[in-house]
Amino acid sequence: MPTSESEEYPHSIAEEKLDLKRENNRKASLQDLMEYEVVFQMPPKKKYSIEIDVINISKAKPKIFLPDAI
Amino acid sequence: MISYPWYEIVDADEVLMQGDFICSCPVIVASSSIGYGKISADIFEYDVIIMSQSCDIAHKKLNNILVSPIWPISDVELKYDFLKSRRGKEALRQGNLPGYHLINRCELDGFEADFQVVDFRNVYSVPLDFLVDLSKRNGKRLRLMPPYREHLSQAFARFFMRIGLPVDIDLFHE
Repeated sequence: MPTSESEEYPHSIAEEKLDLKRENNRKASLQDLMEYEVVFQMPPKKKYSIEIDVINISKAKPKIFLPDAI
Repeated sequence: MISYPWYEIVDADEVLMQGDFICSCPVIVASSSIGYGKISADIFEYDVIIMSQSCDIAHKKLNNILVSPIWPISDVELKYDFLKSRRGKEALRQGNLPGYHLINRCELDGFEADFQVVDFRNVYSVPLDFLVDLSKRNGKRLRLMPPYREHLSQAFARFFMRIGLPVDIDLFHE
């Protein structure tokens, strides 16, 4: 009586397929875990020019907050 | 079962908090030479999310608020092919693209939005009083809820504190 390959070697074929699937999954998840050095520049939503009248230029002064406990 | 919504809508006059969205926030970029009198400046408008800590804002311990621009993922995909791919989106979702952070879709009425990408590489600081005024003029706004807000803040901290080694350890090979 003829038997199919999977009936003759049911374990090995199934295991091979499973191993392949596991390997592919492992590769995929390793790729997903990689950190990518991706940089992209998005333009602003809107851009326009204005004229500013500068009336004062002064050196900034520090604004220091001490923690409450001190 | 407890639900953890990503967003809530808050009134215009609510105190600003980390995770608040501000639409069309202008950023002034002055010309290279600044002196008395009239000078030209460019205004760039961005939709932004507040990155400064809520307690610093509430206690007015800041003159300027740190904001990050945000874009719908569909806009970023148009500019950057990598994010069209499943791998690119997955890397973004898992936090493996330093400098960028993915936040969820919003389905709240009037504030419907696709997934959005927060850009940590181009942050701006906006005067607190100006931002308060702008947010009031804008009306109701969207707010990112805990723990997604803290997750965003942590992602920013991770981006900011990262260190590139001049001589790294080689990849392991099997």
